[in-house]
Amino acid sequence: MAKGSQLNQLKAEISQAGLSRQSHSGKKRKRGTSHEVDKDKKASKLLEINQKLNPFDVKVTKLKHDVGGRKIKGAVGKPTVSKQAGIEQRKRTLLKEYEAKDHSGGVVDRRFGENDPTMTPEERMLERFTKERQRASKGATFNLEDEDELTHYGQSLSNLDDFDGTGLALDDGDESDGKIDADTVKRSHFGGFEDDNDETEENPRKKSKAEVMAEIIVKSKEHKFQRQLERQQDENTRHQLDQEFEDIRSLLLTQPDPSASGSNSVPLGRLRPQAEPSHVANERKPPNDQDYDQHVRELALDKRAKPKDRTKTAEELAAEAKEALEKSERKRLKRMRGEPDDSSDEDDREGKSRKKSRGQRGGDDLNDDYDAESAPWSLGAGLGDEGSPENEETDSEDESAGESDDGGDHESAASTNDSSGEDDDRDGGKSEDLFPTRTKPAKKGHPSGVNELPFTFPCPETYEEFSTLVEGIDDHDVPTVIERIKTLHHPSLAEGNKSKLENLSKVLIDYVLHITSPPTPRFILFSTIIPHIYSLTVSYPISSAQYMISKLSMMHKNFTRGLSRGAASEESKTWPGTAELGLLYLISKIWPTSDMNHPVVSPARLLMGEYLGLGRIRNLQDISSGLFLCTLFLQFEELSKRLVPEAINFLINVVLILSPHNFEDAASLPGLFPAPDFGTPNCLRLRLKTRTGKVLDPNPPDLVKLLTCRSTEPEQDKVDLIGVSFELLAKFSEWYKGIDGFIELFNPIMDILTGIRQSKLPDGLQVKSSATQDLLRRLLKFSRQSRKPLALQAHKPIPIASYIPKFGDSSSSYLRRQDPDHERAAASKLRHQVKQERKGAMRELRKDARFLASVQQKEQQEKDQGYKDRMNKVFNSLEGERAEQKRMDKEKVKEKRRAGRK
Amino acid sequence: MNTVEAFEEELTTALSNDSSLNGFSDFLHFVGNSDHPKTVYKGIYAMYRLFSLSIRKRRLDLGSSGNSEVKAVGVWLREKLERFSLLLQGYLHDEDENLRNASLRIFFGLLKQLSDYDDLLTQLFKVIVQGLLLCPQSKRCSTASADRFLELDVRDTLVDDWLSKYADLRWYYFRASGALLLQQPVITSNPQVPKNALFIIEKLASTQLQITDISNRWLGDSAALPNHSKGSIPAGSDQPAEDDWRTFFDSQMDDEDEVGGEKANTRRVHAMTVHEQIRSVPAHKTMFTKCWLALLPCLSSLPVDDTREDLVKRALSVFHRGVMPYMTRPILLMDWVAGCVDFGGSVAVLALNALFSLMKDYNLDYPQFYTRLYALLDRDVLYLKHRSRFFRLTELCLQSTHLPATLLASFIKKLSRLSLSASPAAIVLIIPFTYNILKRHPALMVMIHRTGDSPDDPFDVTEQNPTQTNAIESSLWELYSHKIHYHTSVATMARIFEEVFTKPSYALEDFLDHTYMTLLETELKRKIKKEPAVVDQSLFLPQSLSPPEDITHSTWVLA
Repeated sequence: MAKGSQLNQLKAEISQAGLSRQSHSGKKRKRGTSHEVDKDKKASKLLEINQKLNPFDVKVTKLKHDVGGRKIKGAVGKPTVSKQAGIEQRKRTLLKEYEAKDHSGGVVDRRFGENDPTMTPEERMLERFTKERQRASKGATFNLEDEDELTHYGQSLSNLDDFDGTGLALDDGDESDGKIDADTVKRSHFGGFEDDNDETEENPRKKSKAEVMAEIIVKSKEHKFQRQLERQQDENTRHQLDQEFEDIRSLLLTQPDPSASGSNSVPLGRLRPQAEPSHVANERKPPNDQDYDQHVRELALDKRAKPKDRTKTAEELAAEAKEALEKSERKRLKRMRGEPDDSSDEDDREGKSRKKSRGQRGGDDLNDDYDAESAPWSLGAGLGDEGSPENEETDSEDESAGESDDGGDHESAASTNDSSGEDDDRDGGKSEDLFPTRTKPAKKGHPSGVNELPFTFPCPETYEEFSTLVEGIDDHDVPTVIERIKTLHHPSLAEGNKSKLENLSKVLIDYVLHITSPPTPRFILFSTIIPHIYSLTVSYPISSAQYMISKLSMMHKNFTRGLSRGAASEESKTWPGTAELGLLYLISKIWPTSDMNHPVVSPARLLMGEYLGLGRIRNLQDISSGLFLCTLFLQFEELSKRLVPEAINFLINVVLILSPHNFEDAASLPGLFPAPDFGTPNCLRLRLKTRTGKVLDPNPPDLVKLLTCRSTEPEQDKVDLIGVSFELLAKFSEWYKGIDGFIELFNPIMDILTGIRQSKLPDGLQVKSSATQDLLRRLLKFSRQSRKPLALQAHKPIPIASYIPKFGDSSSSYLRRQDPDHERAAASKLRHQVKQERKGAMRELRKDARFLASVQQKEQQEKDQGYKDRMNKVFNSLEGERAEQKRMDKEKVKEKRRAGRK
Repeated sequence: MNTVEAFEEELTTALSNDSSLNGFSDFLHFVGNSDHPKTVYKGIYAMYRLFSLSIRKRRLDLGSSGNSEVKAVGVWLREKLERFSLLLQGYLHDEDENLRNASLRIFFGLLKQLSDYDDLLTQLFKVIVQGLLLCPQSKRCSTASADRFLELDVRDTLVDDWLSKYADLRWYYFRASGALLLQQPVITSNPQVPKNALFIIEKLASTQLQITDISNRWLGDSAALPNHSKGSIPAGSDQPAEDDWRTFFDSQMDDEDEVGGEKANTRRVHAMTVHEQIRSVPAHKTMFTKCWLALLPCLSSLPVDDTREDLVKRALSVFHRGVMPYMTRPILLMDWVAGCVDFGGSVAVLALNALFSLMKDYNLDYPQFYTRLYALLDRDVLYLKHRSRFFRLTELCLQSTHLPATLLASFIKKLSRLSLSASPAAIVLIIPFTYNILKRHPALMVMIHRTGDSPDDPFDVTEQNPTQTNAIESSLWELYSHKIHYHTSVATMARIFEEVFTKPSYALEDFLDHTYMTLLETELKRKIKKEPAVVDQSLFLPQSLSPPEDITHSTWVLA
């Protein structure tokens, strides 16, 4: 740009823009219309060039050290342009305000979209049009055609025949537009009466006025009758529809309130036949008024009918079910990984929606937690909800039953429970029962025998009450009894039922512990009661969880008490019995055992680990109990597949104890697992006696038999137990094949399995043993092949935080003020910004003031100028007058003089 | 009843009137043959009062003037006193608790009375110690139980009321029991002696007792008067300052030559009279040391079984705090402690503590300490009762940054392997332990982060020498496997290895004392804040009367 002088540059620019004179000169003649068009263009171009070339329009701030390739804000400015822009802006805003300063009133343009610059004129028009149409459609309120009947002082206008006598022929012609037909007009309006006489010559005689009128009236009456007929028909059809509508509605609506949706479609002033028959019958006397008012009120309060969710197709239902399953699985996985539970807000959301949906049910709906429909079982066969009639007779009986076992026993039991909790563990007190013991066997036989179940039961408050209740009831009827108790004390039925049911879950847990405890554990009954406990737990999870935790802690106390007597001594009770195992099984069924953190499951797992880790094997019962615990662990970790070292230890110890093998003493055992019971005299007795003559096959062992010492064939039991431990080992090895330490964990086990004297095992066990060995060998081989050294620290190295100022190649920020304290730097930056803003604001205000001042000055100047002009004018005129006067005076004097001379 | 009072009255008057004392014999006979505990109780107290009276009247003097009559009475009374003490000795092990304590009280009451009679004092104390350690049968009931162990209440009264309070009694006791324990035939015929001795001395050691505090004395001051000393005192012993000075040098020399030092020390202490020894701290220490040194071989010589191990453990558990600081030269314990360490098991774990303090404070040079320590990491170490103690010490031993990385690698690799079969509490301990070592020795980080591919594990479990196990070329797979452990805290802890090692170190003390019980109690006490999750409806299958399908039911028959 900077080549040549200013003049040269200007020339070059102009020629470049095609505006040079020469090009024009040739075509001077041709100027005409095209010249007018070009003129604007040319002017703008010239302006542009002018602006570009004027060096005084551009202000450049000289850089001291210019570094190439940077754009610095504010290096080049156009003061005049920006100043002009500012002035324009002020003219548009400030000046307007200034001008309107002392004015009040005025017209505000409120037309739709007038002040919305985002709308195009077309849109504006369209919008206005729609608004107008909407307003017009609203005006239909006063459209009389829609009304059924017009009334005046409560009397139907149609019944008034006032027009008969009048000569007014307000006739409704054939056309429904309400115009008087041409004939009538012709005859009777606008003086047509006279003209008619001449032209209707064909009529034999001229009709009299009265005749004409009568004719008109007849005609109009006929029309009226026809219309009435039509309306009658319409009404009939509608009536019919209304009646059918009741049927349709019953199909359509499943909403509980029939009045909510139906009233809309029922015409006003008509009785509602189905909805309130008795009410209507009572008030039939003045039906119209009251009904009408009532309907108006109903209409005012009514909600519009809403469309129901449409019936879903099978695919949609399946997809929904799948999604629900997936969602719960995702939640479970999250809990399994122990991630922070963000499902809480999800729950909240659900809770809200649940609340919303509940809101529809009505105010005194107590059914907030209890979900009866979701219960996965049904009432007893053929037994519905019809319990109420028999209430009286059974109630008395139940009351007496309740009285028969007084609270005293229970209290004493409870107090012993409490006090023993505080016992010092060392004192080796007797281990407490997990459930309150029944001190008094209540002999309250049911009068009608066991076959006939009563329909109503009181809700048992304590375990004693419940056990009295189910006394003499068949095992397979107990679930029915529970179901009936739950139905009778549904929380929606009475206040306090909720706490009763909450208590029932505790009672049921006690009961379950009772029926699974020796001497006769009933596990079949147990598994039928689980669903009931489950449903109560779903409703009242916290109380149920707390109760189970208290049971667990009791088990733990019993165990430590047993340990303090010596884990290896014969009489101390360390291993869990059937009741304890039953409770753990119950936990595995009710709570999600795959959770990483769970108030019930975590302690339960730890307790099981404690049993397996600290319990010492003394006899077959211990082994059975421990193996069952291992199985429970398998069940607990079925989904999460967590590592349970205690279970593996226990299993391999059991194998070592029960089966004949080549290992002499504990020191010669492979691996590093603890074997505290290896070689103790108790355990040597437990070793399988080889070849007892009978051929024994491993079967699933009977837990109850084993734990209650009712088994008669110890050798068979041993074979069974070895079989179970082989199975469990195989299952565990399948689980753990993925973990890093698999080789170290299972190599010793493999060695021990190979160290077992296969030939001395029964054939069935040999098969199992070799299968397990094969599996292990294979898994170990794979694991050896795939294992890699740990590489856990593959993180990016974390740079050490540094406060040394950075001297980069690209930026030289050392000129800028730098504060190592981040917060202080931010604060100072903010301060700086505030200062800048304030300066800017002040500058703007000054500019505003200056602008206003200039405006005022200009006004003042104009005013002064006007005044001056006016004055000048006045002076001029005065001067003119004066001059004229003087001239006149002079003339007069001259004339006088002249006259005087004369 | 009457007879006891009658006897007492008669004998009291006899003592005051200088008349015949033959009633003593009958009284003793009467009391000794009485079965009723109350009678015996009254009888022995009456007897005590009578003897006190006679002592006060100096009837037990053998008479310096050569009066044969007085001497005869004195000898006769002394003989009766001995019979009485033997009777009391029996009652120390009586079934009746009052009787046991009464006889113990009477014994010490008599001791106080006998302050003037050195010979009687020594003799009586011997009887007491025999009674305590041998636990002879009570005469009252011949059918007493076979176990001849000291009763708990007797031990407590003895230690709390007498031995821990009075320095001179302690001295006498150590001397007497040390002498008794050195009698090999007595020990072999009475195997209960070491246990009883340990029973008392353990209690004594665990009561935070200052052996060096000898200000309090039970026996009358007259016993310690210098005029009773026979005059053959070495000149140096009179000045305590010089005495201390010499002992100091002696003990310095002792370190150089143990056997010679021992002799020197004994001679020096021997050179003092009884009364001087009671007033000398080194003498007390010597007696204490002697007693322990006599006791320990007795413990070792017991038949190898659980009781012996138990006794050794009990001795070891008080060793480093209650015993070693008060010994003349704790280094003398070295052989025994080293033997314990070699024994293995929990004994070794306990002995390690003593060994470590020997090494640390007394300059013991123990060869191959780390090899021995490594050998202790066997299959039972994580299940020991003293696990926390062991790891506290092990961490201390492995704290030095000058230890070779190979050695530490072996330790953590072995521990990590052990963790595969450990309880959650132990794993929770091992993980921060390993972390601290890894943090302190960045050379070991290859064990958790190694690039490249080495298919086989070069670690040799069977290698005894921790520097040659190749552990450093292996990885801690086992420890990292616990990231899927069933207990949450363990799983969380195991994940620290995959995180950046920014934490300087874990305070191991926080992890040492976990057990199943503490972990479980934490879990059980946890408050339920929000509704716990229940098994999903869709997963909970409604059950009919037939048993449900799960692992439990497929493995077991539940009816």
